[in-house]
Amino acid sequence: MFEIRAAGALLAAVFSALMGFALGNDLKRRAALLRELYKGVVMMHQEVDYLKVPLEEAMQHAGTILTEPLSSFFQETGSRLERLPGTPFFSVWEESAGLWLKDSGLMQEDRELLLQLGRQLASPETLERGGFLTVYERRLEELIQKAEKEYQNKAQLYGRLGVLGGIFLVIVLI
Amino acid sequence: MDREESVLKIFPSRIRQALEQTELNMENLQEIRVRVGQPLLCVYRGREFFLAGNGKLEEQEKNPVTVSGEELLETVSYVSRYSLYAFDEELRQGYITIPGGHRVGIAGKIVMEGEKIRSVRYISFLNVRLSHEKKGCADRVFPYLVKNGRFCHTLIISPPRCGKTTLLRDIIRQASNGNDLLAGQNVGVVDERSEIGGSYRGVPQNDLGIRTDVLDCCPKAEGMMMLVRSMAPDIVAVDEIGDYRDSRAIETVFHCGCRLLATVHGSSMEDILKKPLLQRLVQYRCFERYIVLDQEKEAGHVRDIFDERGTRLYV
Repeated sequence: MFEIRAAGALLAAVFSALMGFALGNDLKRRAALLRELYKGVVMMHQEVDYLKVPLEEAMQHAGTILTEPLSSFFQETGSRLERLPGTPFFSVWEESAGLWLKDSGLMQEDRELLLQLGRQLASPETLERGGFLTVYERRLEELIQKAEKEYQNKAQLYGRLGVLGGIFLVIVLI
Repeated sequence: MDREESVLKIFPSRIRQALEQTELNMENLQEIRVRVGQPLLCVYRGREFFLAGNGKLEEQEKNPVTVSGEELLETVSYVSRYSLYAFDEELRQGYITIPGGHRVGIAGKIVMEGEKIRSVRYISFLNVRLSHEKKGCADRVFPYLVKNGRFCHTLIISPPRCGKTTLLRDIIRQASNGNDLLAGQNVGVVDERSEIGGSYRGVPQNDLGIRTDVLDCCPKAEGMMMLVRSMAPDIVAVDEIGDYRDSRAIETVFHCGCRLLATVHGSSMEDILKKPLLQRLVQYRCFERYIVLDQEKEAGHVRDIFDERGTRLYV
């Protein structure tokens, strides 16, 4: 009986610790993903501004230098836009974001920012895309700094809380 | 995607559906005019029609499909593949070529940079000109353009909208592919306004033959010189000569041993003699064949063919 309780308590403790580390890892993943997104936007910006490459191509090129899931998001969106002329840009963008970035670790405000990028890119009157993309990059940089600071402050805390929680459960259960 | 589909895909769904409902024969559709807040107009078989909401073409303005500002902007998005910034040069020229070789003319507020046109903003008017190739339309005239196994220097004289570019295109194709009368020729085309080849991303959408090289969106004079220098053409083909800047390039083509195939706006030989450049070329008998078109019976109707002395050859 005691052995079963001990085993259960130990499992609970391990689970609690792992949860703490997982939460910390989510923060790290989010910061890394935002960095990747920034890389992708910068590359698109260069292709648009200097090479005057059409958007669908710029997206596919950007996708080749990124890691998953952003790589698939950019490449597939660009590819769909090319294959399906006459389809509203934002609807393809939004659908792809839903498909590839749903469980990616991005928070609601990150997703909103991404959709905002799609809305702006969809507008044909945004001739000065270079200017818009520069502003967008700055906003992304601020968000990345905020996410990395959050990771630094909270990741260790979550890990420790997880371990402490586990120890507490062991004490309580045993 | 076929040529018909490529035209319909540039329109928002409401307009696309209305056009699809009409079951137009796209071969006879020449233009679609889109203006903000105005009824959509189609030029079909040379006549103007309103596109009605019930999917019919009407001569009177009965329940027409009217284009909103948002729909026009959406059309511009599709035409430019969501990348209007990538078409600066085309906007300066006033049109964008879409897959299928069709040209979308654009009008709106012009943005100037000094004395030059930089771009077009607040686009409110579009003119979709459909590109049609009529293979075989040069069959009747081609025999007159070949003498002793050589292609003659040829000038096509035509008023606007009489099919001169369509005829030019087919002559290029036949000369390039070769036939019983003429061995296949290397043809260099200077396609200043993308009307001859209808090139999309550098690839002609119209069939110009297997031995044809195209300089797309290139000024005629520079283009002719470039072709002669680098592409070794047997025939150089250009549309709408007459500008004084073309004269030196035309002389170079003649002196290099290339044959020249060109078109000019005009309704008769007498008409083109009023243009100084052409007067000189005619006087010196530079051209060996003159084809005169009119629209008496139909677009592309050949009225006359003359030789360099003015002798009528075509009956």
